[in-house]
Amino acid sequence: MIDIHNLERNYKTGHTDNFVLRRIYLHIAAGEFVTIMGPSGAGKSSLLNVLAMLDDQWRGEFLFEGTPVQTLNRKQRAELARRRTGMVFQSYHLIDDLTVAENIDLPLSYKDIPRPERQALVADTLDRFNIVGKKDLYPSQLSGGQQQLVGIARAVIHKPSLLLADEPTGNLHSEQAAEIMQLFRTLNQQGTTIVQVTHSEANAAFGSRTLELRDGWLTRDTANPNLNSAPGAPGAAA
Amino acid sequence: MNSILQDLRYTLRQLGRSPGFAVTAILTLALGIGATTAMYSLVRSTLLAPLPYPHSEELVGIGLVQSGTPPASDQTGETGDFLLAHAQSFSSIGIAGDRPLGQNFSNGSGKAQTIYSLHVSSGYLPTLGVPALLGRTFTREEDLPGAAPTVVLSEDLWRRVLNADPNIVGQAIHINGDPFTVIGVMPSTLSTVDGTDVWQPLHLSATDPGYQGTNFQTIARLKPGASVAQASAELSGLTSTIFRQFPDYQKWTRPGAPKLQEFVWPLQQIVVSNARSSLIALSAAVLAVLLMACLNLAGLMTARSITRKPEIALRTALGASPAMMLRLLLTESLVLAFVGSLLGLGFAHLALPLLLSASPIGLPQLRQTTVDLPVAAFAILTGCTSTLLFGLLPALGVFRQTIGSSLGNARTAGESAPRQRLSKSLIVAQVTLATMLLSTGALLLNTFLHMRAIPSGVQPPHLYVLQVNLKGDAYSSTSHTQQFISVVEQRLRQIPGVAQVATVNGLPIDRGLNNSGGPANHPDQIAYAESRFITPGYFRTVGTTLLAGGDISDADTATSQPVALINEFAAKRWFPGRSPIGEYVITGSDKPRRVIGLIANVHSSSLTDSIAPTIYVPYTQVDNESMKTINGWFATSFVLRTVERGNFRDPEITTAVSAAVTAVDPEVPVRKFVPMQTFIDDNVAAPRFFSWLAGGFAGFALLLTLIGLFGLLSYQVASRTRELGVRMALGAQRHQILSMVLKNGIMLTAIGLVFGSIGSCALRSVIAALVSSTVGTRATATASLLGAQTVSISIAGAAMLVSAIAASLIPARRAATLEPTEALRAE
Repeated sequence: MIDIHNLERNYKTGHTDNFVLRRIYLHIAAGEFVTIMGPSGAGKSSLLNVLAMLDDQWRGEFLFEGTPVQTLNRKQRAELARRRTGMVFQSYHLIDDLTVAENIDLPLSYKDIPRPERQALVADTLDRFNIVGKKDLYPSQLSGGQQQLVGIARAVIHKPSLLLADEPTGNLHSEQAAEIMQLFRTLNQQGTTIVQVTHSEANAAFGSRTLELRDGWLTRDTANPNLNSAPGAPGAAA
Repeated sequence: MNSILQDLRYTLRQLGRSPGFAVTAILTLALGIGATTAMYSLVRSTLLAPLPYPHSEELVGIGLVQSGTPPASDQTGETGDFLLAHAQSFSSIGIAGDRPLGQNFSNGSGKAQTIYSLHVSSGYLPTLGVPALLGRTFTREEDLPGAAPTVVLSEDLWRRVLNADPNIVGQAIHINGDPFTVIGVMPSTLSTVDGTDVWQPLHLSATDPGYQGTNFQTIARLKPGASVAQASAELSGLTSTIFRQFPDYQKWTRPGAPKLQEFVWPLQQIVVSNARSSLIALSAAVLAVLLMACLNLAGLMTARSITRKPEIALRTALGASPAMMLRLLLTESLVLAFVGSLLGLGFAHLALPLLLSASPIGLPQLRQTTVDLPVAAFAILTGCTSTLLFGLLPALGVFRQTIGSSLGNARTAGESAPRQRLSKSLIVAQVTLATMLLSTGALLLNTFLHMRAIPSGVQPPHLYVLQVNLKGDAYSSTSHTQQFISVVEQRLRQIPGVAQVATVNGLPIDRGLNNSGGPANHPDQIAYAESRFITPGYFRTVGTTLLAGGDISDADTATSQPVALINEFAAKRWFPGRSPIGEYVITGSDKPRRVIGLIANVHSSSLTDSIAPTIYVPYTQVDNESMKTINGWFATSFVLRTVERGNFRDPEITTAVSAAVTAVDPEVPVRKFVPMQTFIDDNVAAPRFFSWLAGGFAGFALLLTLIGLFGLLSYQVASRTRELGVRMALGAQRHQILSMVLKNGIMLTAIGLVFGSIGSCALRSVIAALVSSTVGTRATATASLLGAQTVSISIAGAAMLVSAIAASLIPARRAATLEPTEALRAE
């Protein structure tokens, strides 16, 4: 599903370049549940943003389901991301003045889907996530776990092939976190490829593969034990 | 104290770091407060000022008017005499002419000038209660018909023209060529109210030509302890006796209209009556502008407090108490208020003289209109109150929320609903007010253009008017008046560039005699008609069309057959379906006149007046008594049509014109020499002034709305950055974000437009009343002058929408170009 070759991302600070991703080589197959770990500032979220196609300032090659993303213009990338990816945020990022149902409907509202069809999809999703009773509530009326549930429902309503999650349980207590991770596992079992960023080993245990980043370098990949962990040395994950 | 100084220093530093915010807030306040202060100063010196007379609260005016009319002291001679004889509620009553009349004054230096004289009864000046500066006021005997001519001077004339001669009392001065003995000088406070230069005895007599008309005003001083209500009740009781004694007055009102009645009002209300509605309307407009400035300030302060949230949260976390935070906010508000108020005072100081000089409304200056200490206190108080109410309170609300959430990480995106409601309500209120001001400005402008387009009935290009007052014994006869006019006309014709000259008493769009008139053989049709007195060639000179028959000529003399021309309106009313030529008409108590010509309609006293039946009579055929009356009441106008080249306003021409008059009679000064267009322009001066003023206010309102909308949307984009990032992450395209922000601005504008349109419709009757009070027409007649409301609202709507799009575009573009990854990181 994802093939990345020699991907680099840097930010300019004055006259110096600060690299946040260095020579990343990565292959993720469809149906995988990948966890990206690493200390703060290692480049986890930056990699996630590249995968989500929110960032287009990187160099290298990125094939998404066979499409060379680096050759797409900004609009084409946004279109591809809108169709094929879903995003779950640590801070849920629900919109205050929209109800639960309206928040879930949001990704569909940016596609050319007729209103009745959208309503049916929202109803299905509410049912699937067991939150029908909360459809008219506002985010501020929900608990953190419930808000994240809505966030995930919103991310998967358009049936993306790739679900990206940035610290999805970072603001939840352990019990709620376990429930959310169980939901991810279920979604993965139903065929959705998942890439999550987390600090939690417990969360990582729900996944099938773990990557570790340090100072922008990919230093560990459980699917590729032979990966050279020394910074500066390129490694290729199988 | 140290803490306050520290807060002050910090505030100044903070404002220095946000110059955009500081300048916008201070300018907004300064303009709002400046306009309010200027208007307050004007209202204080007119509507709120007491009359400059001792115990002025006891002074009243008595008017014989219909109920529902504004305060007035109009009175006929005979009802005035009746009140003198019967009213019991007053310690004294004074009767005067309805207005100061232009007179020719000379003190023997050979240069005559126009002065304004008010004819007053012997009780008038004592009723006002102001003691004479020199000498005394009139005795009862001096006010009797046939008494030796006496005069009381104003202090201003005495100082200006007579070098404050301390021995003036007992000396003679010449008015209209006749000697008058000066018996006193009145202090300048008296002239400030109506601009009178001298007072002459009224000599009220039942034989006066205007005795039975409302050509007089009555003032009175209430007896100690008596109230206006008691006096009104007494005079109400006397009204039926008046109608029994003078039954003709009951015919003055049309069937169904309120009957005439004696009303009592405080004199102050009568003096400011004409300016009252205009000043109230202007004050309302200014308050709307101030309110807009305050709403804008509220928006600015709210937005600013949002940007300072992290700082305030940090201060709170570090132990700042709510009182400390309040003091900091208060300091910032007060600094803005103080600087804004001071600038506003400067603005008012500059605007006041401009406003006074540009105003076509007579604003009685009962107190000097200036920016003095009470006005300055008003400005600073208004500034502080506005800033605290509209600046500090909304900001406090935001800070309270900030303190509540402290440094916590927001888990949702976007603004909170109550804060959004507040911001949106502020903008909707601003758009509503701006729409009302804009549509009012458009409506007034339309009225002005409408009035300007009304054909006057004359051809103003190259037409000039030279006005003189022909008063006194010398001009009480037709022959002398006719002789003067004839020689002046001859001299004017000799001035190079003058093509035609004629004379009229009762110039179009000016004042003239209204009299009774109608067909001679139908006395039942004799009713109100305008009378105009002309010399041969008048119609040709002013460019009024002769529709049928012929003009008067030199052959029409005092001894030839009496003739007249009538206007089309009179012909249709009096001789329907046939030619009026050869028919006979009567004007006043004159003998029947044969109609020799039919003239196109001309507006008599105002462009907005409905056309009245008008009879034109040759000067040579006016009897002595009528000549004395019209010369006493109205100016004589020479009309000059010039050749089409050259500038006729050259000082040399003005001198030549003036010389043509003074060479014939040095005691007759030129009262006015202006193009005919000036009379027409003066007629539309009030709607023009109000449309400019309303346009100015509307422009300011539009600017404030623009700033407000821009500020709000910029703030919304800033505070919704993360939400916008989320939307983009969930698939929103840039054009969708752009249109979302634009739609937001346009939606708020549209809601304000709906409210503003409703408000504008409600204001229509107020504007009609304002225009009718300033141009002197009935409100029903004015309603037709106001353009279609839909046009004015459409203009306002279009201006608002264009402004809204312009104001929304930059924040919308900023939102659309956000990088989602950056936006998602935003706090």
